Amino acid sequence: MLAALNTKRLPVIYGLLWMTITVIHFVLLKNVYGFSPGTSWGDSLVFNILFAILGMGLWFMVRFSDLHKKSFTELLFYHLTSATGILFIWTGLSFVILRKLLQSDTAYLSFLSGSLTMRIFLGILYYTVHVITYYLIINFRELQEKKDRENQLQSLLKEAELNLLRSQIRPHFLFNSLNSISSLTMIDPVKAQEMVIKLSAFMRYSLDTRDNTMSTLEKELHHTDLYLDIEKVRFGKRLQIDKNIEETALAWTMPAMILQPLIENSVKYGVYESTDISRITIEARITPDYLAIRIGNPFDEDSSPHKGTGTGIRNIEARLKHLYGRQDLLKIVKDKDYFELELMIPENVR
Amino acid sequence: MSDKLKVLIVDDEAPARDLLQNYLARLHNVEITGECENGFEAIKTIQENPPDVLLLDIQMPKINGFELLEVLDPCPEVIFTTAFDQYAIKAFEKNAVDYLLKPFSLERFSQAIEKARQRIIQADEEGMTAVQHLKQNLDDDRQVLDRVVTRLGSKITVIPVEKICYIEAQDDYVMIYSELGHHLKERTMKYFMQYLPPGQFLQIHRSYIINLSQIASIELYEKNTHLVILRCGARLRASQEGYKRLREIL
Repeated sequence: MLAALNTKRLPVIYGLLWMTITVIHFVLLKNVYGFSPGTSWGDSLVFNILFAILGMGLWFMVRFSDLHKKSFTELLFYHLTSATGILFIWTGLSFVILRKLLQSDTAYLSFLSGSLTMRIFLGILYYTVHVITYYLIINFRELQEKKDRENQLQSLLKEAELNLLRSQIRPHFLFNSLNSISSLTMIDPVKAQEMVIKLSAFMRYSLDTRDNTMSTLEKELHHTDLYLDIEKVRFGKRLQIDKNIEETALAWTMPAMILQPLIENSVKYGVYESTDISRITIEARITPDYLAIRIGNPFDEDSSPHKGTGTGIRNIEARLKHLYGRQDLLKIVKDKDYFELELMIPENVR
Repeated sequence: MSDKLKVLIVDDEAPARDLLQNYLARLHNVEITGECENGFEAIKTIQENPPDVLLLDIQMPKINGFELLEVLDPCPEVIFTTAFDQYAIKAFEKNAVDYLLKPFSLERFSQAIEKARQRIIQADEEGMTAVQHLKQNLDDDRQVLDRVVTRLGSKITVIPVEKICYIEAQDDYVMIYSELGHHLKERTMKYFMQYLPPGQFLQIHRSYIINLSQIASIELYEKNTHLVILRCGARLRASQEGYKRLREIL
């Protein structure tokens, strides 16, 4: 029923309704009042086609009489005037046309003259039904539009929020890396160039990724390696990586920019907060339904100034929920001295 | 001050230290007294060979740049070098000579070093280091303490506030009793009441601030006096007013 309010279908439905009314009108005149088929058709067609046309015009009158801005008395006056006008035109025109058209049928002509009161009542009924239906349609459309706008706003907000979260992680990493490059240009230009290239490749992948971009584990690992290589220049021996990746897992499809931010989180809690060697472990294997990724890092509860979950992890959780419609894909295991993330990637997005 | 400006580098990233080394080598009348990877190393090096100027990163493991300054006495002139710009205001409030945002140019760096040199010459003339202000100013805009850094000789202890059992006033100092032992800190009771997480600590006496989660029991001692017994074994007298506050909270 609501789908029927679609703009394209409305005129068709309107036409069909009037056709039905015309046929009923015809049957009534022919069978109940006993007029000839020609006379019955003439009366039925003239009256109904005329009102159908006037009714369409009524749509614009209703549309532009803003329901919210007018007081009730104003509205009543407005419709009384327009109803009178329309009834006058409708009956007047119909009478003139029919008198000319069916002037030979005298029985009908006297019936026509006597039917004016009935026609006026019928006209008022038609008018009222039209106006009420039009108001309902307008109201429904406004509601729909409002809902659409709200939905649009929601998704825009969400995107802005994700972008904000993403941008919060970047600057310090970027500026510290640039500082390392600034240092290397003087001490080891070849290494400096290498780092610029890696940083560029890293930034490109990060910037090209949208919230629903899909990638593979292999690409994600490559991107993570770029990141880790850059961090290794900064932290040297303090950053150690243990990787254990199943060969068959590499081709698995997963959302882009998921793995590296999680590793970045581990580096932040592990390496940034440790004066010693920090060993970060990355494992990936295929289980019957999932690609299971495990990321672990040592963690000193006492020295960590960041309490609670980092923005990086919250961002990933939001994206996974958005893509897979599930909230249980990222598990956090936090121990006194060890931090572990377990990520499950289903085979298909929803 | 000797002719040469003695400079100590404190940064946890090797390339950042290399860059400072490289820049300093191009300047005249400066001498590098050392390079430290973290606050613990810095304390040791500073005690063995006090520098005139500290080139200090803020984000470092275990104790950050600001916390390191807290336990230094006397404190050298400080130039912060960091990738974060959100600490700049705080740094200048602490009377830092300069605040260099990574990456920075040699020109900008040498300006900072010259500024430090001028300040030291001026301070020598006036007979006090400008940095004494720095220590006094350290108390302000911190929101809530989550750890306290103390120093005994060259040994630094970082005490997470949850591990504090109670704090006792001792003249101009306080003694912090925690799972890690007891540590003297050059701070007032007022400071701790202001910056310890509210709702977690309470002053029960002019001389005692206790961690509420450490309370084992409360006993009547004499008429109008109560003893608060803490899990760490301490038995502390609560003043009348302190006891009233305690009853309100519990």
